[in-house]
Amino acid sequence: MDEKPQRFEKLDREGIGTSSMSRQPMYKHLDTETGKRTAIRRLLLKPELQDSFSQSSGLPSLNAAQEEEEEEDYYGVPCMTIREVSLLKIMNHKNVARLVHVEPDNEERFLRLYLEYAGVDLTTFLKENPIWASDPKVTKDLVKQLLHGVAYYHSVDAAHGNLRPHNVLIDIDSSKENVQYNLLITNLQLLPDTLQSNYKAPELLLGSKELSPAADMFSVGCIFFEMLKKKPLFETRHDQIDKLFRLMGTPNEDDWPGVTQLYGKKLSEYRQLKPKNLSKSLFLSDVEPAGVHLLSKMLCLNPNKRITAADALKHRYFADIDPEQQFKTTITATASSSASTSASVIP
Amino acid sequence: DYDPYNPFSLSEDQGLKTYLGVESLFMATEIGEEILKYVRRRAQLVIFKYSKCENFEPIIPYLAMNYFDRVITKENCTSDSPRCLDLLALCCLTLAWKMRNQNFTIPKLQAIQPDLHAITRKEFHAMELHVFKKLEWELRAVTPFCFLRYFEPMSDPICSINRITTNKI
Repeated sequence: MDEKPQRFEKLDREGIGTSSMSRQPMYKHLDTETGKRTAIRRLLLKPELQDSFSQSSGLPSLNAAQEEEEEEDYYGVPCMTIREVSLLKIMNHKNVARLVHVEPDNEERFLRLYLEYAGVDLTTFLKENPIWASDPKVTKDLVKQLLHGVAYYHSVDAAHGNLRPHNVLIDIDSSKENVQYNLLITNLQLLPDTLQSNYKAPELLLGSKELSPAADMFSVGCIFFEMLKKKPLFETRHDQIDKLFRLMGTPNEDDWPGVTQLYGKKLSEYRQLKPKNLSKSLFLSDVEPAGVHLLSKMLCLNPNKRITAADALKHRYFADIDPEQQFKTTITATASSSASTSASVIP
Repeated sequence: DYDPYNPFSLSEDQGLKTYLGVESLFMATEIGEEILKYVRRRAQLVIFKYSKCENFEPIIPYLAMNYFDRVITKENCTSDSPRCLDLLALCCLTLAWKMRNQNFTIPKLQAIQPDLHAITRKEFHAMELHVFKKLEWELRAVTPFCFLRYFEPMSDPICSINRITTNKI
């Protein structure tokens, strides 16, 4: 792209976290053609490194020096990169961040993907807008938009694979009488905060490497819980399985046929536990029963029985949302209290 | 996963309208000049020569030609050397292959076609990126095949399969 070298302007004051790939701070970039904000995702053009990154998202184990030495070891553009970029190119949904622009870096060692960015990520949203975020209607609206986006991913035969609050962006539009929230799913590789909270599905934790729509839905369940309780469901990475089994019961052949054959060795390390009442053990008594039911369906251990995004949208939890009003949640009383936060967010 | 017969993974009722709307974006501008016709014929030869393999899929050379036509009509490369044009055609082929088959790698192709060892890794890499840039990463091409499913119910299935094979050549 020789004709417009300066299309994207770095917004130095708008950092969004640390890149898990380069360990450098990441900034938003202004698209000077459209005036919209974008964030960069990097894809390496070296296949063997690409693999190691996709498997350990957020935990890069390779150091920079090692990468330098393997300079001659690439061979054309890796298959997965091609597939991912060409897929992102055709994706077009209001709840999925668009791919605005692709360019290789000067040495052609990685690609920069400029992805649409709006508002703040979910973690920041929950922290900065405690009042709005506690409104059950807002939660319902946001979960619904999240599911719409995820359902779109699945409808084009793709799985997101890295759903976490960092990759869920929320743009608050308070310019109208009804405050509107627009949710965007993006896919940036950011290092998690000091808290290494985890959103991975049990089958991935038990050793499966397959990214599946069902695994995405488990992550949606974790995010749903986080929206309800303002804290991650699994706060640490290392004992997630343990906590999960204590909550949902240790999987057995009755509720997950074939599980012993798949992960029997790993499972034998855990005690046999019975599932608990979700509402009581997660302190969800203030949440409507339909919401708890939907959450339990999303956190279902057996990926084959876990609810799909399309089915979740038909769940009775969303029954009381007026279809025409689904993206307009009325909040008048609290609008003024948080207006200052939202003003800095909207360009 | 990528299905060349339905590149945007659309359901049957949405598909027709969308594909009709965007089809022209994936068509090369008309090839009028005599020299381009020659260049295209040469590319066809290259692509067909190297696409022969065990599990041959006709859609792969077809996609490769679609990429090639789109690249060649976007730039003036008649002045480029024949080697450069051959490499361009070859990279269109490797990219089409990679889109279709996840396990495809250039070393595997070189194992079957030893004369390709004359091309260095850097050359492959640079040319593939060049093709991407020209195609603006739109590799999920909308081709006449996307419309097949709308015609198939109307015609005898054997007849339509025959048409695919004749279209190739």
